[in-house]
Amino acid sequence: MPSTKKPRRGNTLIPKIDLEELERWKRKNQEERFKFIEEYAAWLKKTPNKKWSKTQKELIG
Amino acid sequence: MELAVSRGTIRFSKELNRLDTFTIDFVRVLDVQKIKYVLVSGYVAILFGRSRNSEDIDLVLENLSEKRWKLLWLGLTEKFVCLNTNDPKEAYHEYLRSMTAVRFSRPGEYVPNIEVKFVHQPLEKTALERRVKVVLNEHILFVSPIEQQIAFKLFLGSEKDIEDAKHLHLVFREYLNKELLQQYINALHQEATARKYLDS
Repeated sequence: MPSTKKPRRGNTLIPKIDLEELERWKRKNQEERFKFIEEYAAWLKKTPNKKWSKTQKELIG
Repeated sequence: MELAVSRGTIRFSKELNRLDTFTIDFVRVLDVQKIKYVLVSGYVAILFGRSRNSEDIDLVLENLSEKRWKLLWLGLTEKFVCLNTNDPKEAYHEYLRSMTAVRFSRPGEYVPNIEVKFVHQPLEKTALERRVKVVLNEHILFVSPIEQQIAFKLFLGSEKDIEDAKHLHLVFREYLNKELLQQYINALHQEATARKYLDS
């Protein structure tokens, strides 16, 4: 829900953002995502079709 | 995952999800009318086990005459509705012939939908000409060559696309034509991206 508070002149409701830290977080997050893709593919390759496709169906519908 | 991969054909079985049944129902109409198509992009990764959902499925059709399009429209609209227009003539001239896709969904639903366009770009032509037959349970689907799909997903470059490329590369690692994959990667100038994301 959007804030209804009006920022005062020269003031802001947005905290000071450390962009370098945020970039590091983004890179780490991406590395973790890629690691998950690798681990998931490894699991998929050794898992019977019936089992992995059942979990995929639970996710997709 | 049990896959049987032979020249130009991939056979496997799975419990069908909503995207699979939607796609199978749609392409059945194309098969009945002997219309050549190829499935491209994200659904190819999902078909082969990627753990994500999608709102749409991308499909490239051979170029059709207006007469054949109208026949196809009749077949499609028995089970699906076009989300862009109710008029097949408009769909043909204002969308498909103008290189713009039209979307179809099941009546009363908006997602999933299938984005249909006529073949135009050289890579789409290659995908259609070298399409790979997938025998899924008792159903037949045609998908883009996996090597092309991997390189193209790297080219698209969003996090989701790179994950799709990684997934397909890992699942098909032992079946890929490495030379062909490298050719696609070079053609799309994705050498650095491929080294970064596929060689790990």
